[in-house]
Amino acid sequence: MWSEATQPWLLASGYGEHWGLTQGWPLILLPLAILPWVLHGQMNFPHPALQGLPEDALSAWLDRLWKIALSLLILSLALALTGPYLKSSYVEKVGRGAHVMIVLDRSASMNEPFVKKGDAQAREPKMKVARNVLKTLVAQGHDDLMGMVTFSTSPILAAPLGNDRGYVQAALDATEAGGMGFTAVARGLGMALDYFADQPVTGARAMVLVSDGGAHLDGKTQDMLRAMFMRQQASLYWIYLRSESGVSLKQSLAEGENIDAYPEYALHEYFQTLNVPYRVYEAENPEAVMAAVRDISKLKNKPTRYLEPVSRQDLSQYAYALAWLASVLLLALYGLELKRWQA
Amino acid sequence: MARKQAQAASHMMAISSALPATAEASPLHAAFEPRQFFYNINWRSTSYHAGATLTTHHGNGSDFAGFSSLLACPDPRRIDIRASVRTVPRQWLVRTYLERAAIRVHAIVDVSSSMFFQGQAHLRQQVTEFVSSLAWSAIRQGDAFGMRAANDSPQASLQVLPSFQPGTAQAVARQMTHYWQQAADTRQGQGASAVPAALEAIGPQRSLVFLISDFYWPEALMTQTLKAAQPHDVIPVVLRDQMATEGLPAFGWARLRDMETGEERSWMLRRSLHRQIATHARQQAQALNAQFLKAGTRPPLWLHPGWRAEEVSRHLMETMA
Repeated sequence: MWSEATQPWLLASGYGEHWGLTQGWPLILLPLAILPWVLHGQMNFPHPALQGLPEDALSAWLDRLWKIALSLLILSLALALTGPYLKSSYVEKVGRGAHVMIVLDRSASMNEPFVKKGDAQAREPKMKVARNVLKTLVAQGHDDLMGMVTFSTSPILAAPLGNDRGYVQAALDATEAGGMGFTAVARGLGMALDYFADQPVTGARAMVLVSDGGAHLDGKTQDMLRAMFMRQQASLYWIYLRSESGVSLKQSLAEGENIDAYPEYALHEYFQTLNVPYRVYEAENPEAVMAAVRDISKLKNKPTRYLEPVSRQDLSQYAYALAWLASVLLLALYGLELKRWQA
Repeated sequence: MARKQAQAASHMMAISSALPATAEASPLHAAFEPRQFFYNINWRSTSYHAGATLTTHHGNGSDFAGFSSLLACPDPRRIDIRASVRTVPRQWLVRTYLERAAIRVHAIVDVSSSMFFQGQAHLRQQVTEFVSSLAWSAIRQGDAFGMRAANDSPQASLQVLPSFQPGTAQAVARQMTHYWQQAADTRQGQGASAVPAALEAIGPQRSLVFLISDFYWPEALMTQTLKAAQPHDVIPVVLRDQMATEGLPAFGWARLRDMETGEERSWMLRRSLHRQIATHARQQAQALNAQFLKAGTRPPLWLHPGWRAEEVSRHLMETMA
C-alpha cells in the first residue's frame, strides 16, 4: 500500500528512468536526522535562572547551526550509503563535421600484399595499410561523427555512428586478425547506409569505402544500392587498395577488353552512376592516402545535433563531500564549545 | 581603650574570615559554629512569653506606660506620691509599666532547584550557616524560632515549630545538612511555588520572618509571596551566586540549562554579551529591591559568601523600619 502511494511520486521524479539507488535499505536511516532536534543530550551547564537574562541571536543561530550540521551529516551519510547514481543516458550535443561511416573490407583478398614498387621484404598486407590509413583519418577531425562497418561475406557492425573515437580505434585494432571470406561490398555499404537511415539529414554524409574492390554486383543489388544512396544523400569516397594483380582505375580500359574481368573497374563504373558525389583514391603511396584524409576532413557542415552516450555516474561522492563539510562544521563548533565553566 | 577595641575587632574579623575556608574544606559536614547577630523590633509583641520585645499589655516591666488609679490597679508598691498630689480631686495614682515578651522568629527557606547551583559560593552551606545562626541568635534573645521550607511542595523534613528550646540551632544545622545530602531528586525542575503556602502556614500572629531565597522567581510567585507575607515583619535574605551572571568564561560557546524550568539556551560568550548580561543582572537586582520596597518589607539583605554576623546585625539595626 505504502509503495503504491509512493510509486507515482517516484516515477514523476524520474526514478528508474534517469536515476536510481544501488541499495535502498539505508533510506530507513534518514529519519535519524530528526534526533538532534528531539534529543537534548548535549553537554550543558546548569544555570539557576535564565528568565531575566538576554537571549542572543548569534548564539541561537550557533545552536541551530549545530543541529542543522548534525542533521545534514546523518542525512548525507544515509544518502551516500544508498549509492545514488545517474543512469547512463544520452546527451544532446551540437557538433560541426561530417557523418563519416567507414566501410572496411576484411575479405581474404585483403591479406594479400599491397602493390609496391620495391623489394618483397617491405611489402605489407593491404589490411595493414588500410588500418594505418583509417587510423590517420580517425585521429583527425574531432568534430566528425564516425562509425565503422567491416564486411567480408557478411557485414559486421564494428562501431555505431557516434563521437566516440576510442570505440572506432579499438574496432580498427581488432582488425589485426586476418581477413577471410568473400567481398560482399553491397551488403557492407547497405548496412552502413542503414545507420544514416534513422537520423535527420543535418550534415554531410560520407561513406569511406576501404576495399580492393574484388566484387561483382548484380543488377538488382545495383538498383537497390543506388536507391539507398539517393535516399540517404551520402557521398562516397573509395580508398582503393590496389592489389598486385589489380588494375589502376585512373586509366580507362583499353577498347574491347571485357569489363567483367576487372571487377574493381566495374565497381568504379557503377559508383559513377550513383548520382551522388563520388571520389576514388588509389592508395598507392602515403601521399595519396593523405589526400583522401584531407578531403574528408574538409567536409564542413552545418551544425549537427547528435546524442552522445554518457556513462552511469555515481552521485554518492557528492553526498560524502556534504558529509565532510558538515563534519568540519561540527568540529569547528566543538572547538568553539566550552568544556568547563571557568572564568 | 580604643586600641583594645581595635584588637578585639581584628580578632573577630580573623574568626569570621577563617570561616569560609573551613566551610570549603568540607561543605556539608561543617561543624556548627554559631554566629550571633542582633535585631530590633519596632512593633509590639502580643504574646505573653517572657522576652525582650515590648508588648502592649501592662505588667511587671521596666518600660513606663502611664498612671492609673490605685483602685484600677491595686499595687501599693507603685504608688507615685508626686503624681497623686497633682491630681484634682485627690486620688492615689499608681505607675504602670509595659511587659516585655518574646516574639516568633521564622525562617522561610526556599529549597528550589536553583539553590543547588554550584558556583563560586556554596549556597546551601550559606543557607545552613545563616539559618542556624538565626536560630542561635533568636533563642539567645529569648525569642521562639521556627522554620519552614518549600520548593514546589512544603518540605516536612525541614519544618521546625516555633520553640524556645536551647539546642534548636544545633538541631537545625543537623537537619539542614541531612536534608541537603538527601535531596538528590529536587536538584532538577523544582520551583518555589509552595513558598506562599509556607508563609501562610506560620499563622496570623505577627512575627519576624526571614525569607531566604535567591528570588529567581516568576513575577506571579513574587506577588503571591509578598501578599502572603503582608501580616509579618519580613526581611528578605537574598543569596545569589556571582558565577551565574558575572564570573562567566571570557570566550566560548556554551549551552545552558535552567535548573528550574529546564529551558535551554546557548550563549556565545564574548565581550558584548558579557556587557548585556551584566546590565540585565543589575536591572534584575534593582527591580527586586524596588519590589520589596513597594511591598513594604524591610530592605533586602544581600548575603555574600563569607558574611559576617556584625554586618548582618548592622543591617538589621539600620533597617528597623
